Amino acid sequence: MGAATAMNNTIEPDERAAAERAKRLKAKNLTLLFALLAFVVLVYFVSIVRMGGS
Amino acid sequence: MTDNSIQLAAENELTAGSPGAAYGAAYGESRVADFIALLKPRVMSLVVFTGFAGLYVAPGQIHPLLAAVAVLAIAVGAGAAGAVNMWYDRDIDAVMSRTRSRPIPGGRVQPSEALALGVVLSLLSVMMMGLAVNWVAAALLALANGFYVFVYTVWLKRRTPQNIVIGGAAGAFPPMIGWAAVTGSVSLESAALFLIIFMWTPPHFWALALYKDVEYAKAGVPMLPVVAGKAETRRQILIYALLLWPVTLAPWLLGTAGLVYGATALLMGGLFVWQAWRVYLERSERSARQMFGLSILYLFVLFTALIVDAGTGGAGWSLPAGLL
Repeated sequence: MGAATAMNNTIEPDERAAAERAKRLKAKNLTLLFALLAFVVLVYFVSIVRMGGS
Repeated sequence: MTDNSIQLAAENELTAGSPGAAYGAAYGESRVADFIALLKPRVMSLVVFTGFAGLYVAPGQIHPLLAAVAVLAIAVGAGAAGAVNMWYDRDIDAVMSRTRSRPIPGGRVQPSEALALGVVLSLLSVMMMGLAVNWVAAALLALANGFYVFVYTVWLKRRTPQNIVIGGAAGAFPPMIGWAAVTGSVSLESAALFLIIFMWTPPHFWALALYKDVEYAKAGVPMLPVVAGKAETRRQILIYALLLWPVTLAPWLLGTAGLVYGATALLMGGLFVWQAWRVYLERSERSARQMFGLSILYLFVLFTALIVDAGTGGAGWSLPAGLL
C-alpha cells in the first residue's frame, strides 16, 4: 500500500511533465504548419503578381 | 581591476567549465517563443525599419506585395543571421548576465536546432528576395548575412576591438537592400544610407560597452573599453559622433530627402554630439547609458524623418544639384 502511494507520487510529476512536453510540441507543430501554409499562399500571390508583368 | 587582470579572469572563466559548457536541451523543452527569441526580434525591428526606409525613399515603383515580401525577406534574413550568431556565441552568451537567459545557454533549445533554423531561414530569405523581387537585392541580403556571420561573428568579434567598426557594416546593409529592391541597383544615394548606419554603430555599441565592460571582459570579447580603456573609448565615441554628423546630411545634399530631413539631421546630430561630449567630460555610467538610449532614438528619428520627407514630396526644398 505504502509502496503504491510512493510510486504514484513519482509517476504523477512524470506524467505532468510528459503532458506539458506534448502540449509544447503540439504548439510548435501548429506554428510550423501555419508558417508553411502562409508561405504557400505568399508564393501563390507573388506568382500572380510576377506573371502579371509587374 | 586592470584591463589585463579582467582579461585573465575572463580566460580562466571560459576555460574552467563555465555555465556555457553545459547546454543540452531535453527533447520537447523548447517553446515557440524560444525560436522567436533566437531571431533577436528587438534587433530585427530596427533592421526592418531602416530597410523599409530605404525601400520607401528609393526612386521608382514596386508592387505593394513585392515591397512587403522584400521587407519580410530582410526581417527573416536578419533573424536568421541572429540565430546563427547565437549558435556560435553560445559559450560567451552563457558567461554574460545580459545574454545568459538566451534559449541556448538557458538550456531550452539545442545548438543544432538553432543552427538549422538560422541556415534554413537565411537560404529561404535570399531565395524569396531573388525570385519575388530581384537578384541584386538578394545578393546584398546574402552579403549582409554572410558578413554578419563569417566576418563579424566568427572572425572579428573575439579578435579585435575593431569588431563592431568593421562588423557594423552588416547592420548597415538593410536600407541599401530596400533601395535595391525598388531600383535593382546600388547607387551613391543608397551608399549614403549605408554610411549613416555604419558610422552610427561604433558610438552606439561603445556606449553600451562602457558600462558592460566587465561583462565583455569576463566573456573574453575585446571591446574597446576592455582593451584600450574607458578614456580612449569616450574619446572615440566623441570622434565618431562628430564624423557622423556631416554624414547624416548626405541624403539631403544628394536630394534623396528635403528640408524636414535636413533640419532633423542637423538638430539630432547636434544633440548626439552634445551627449558624446557629456560622456567624454562626465565619465559616468549614467551618461553612457543615456548615450546608448539616445543613439537608438537618434537612428529611429533620422529614418522617420527620411520617410516623412519622402511621403510629403521632399518638403519642397533641397540644395540645387549644381552645387554638388
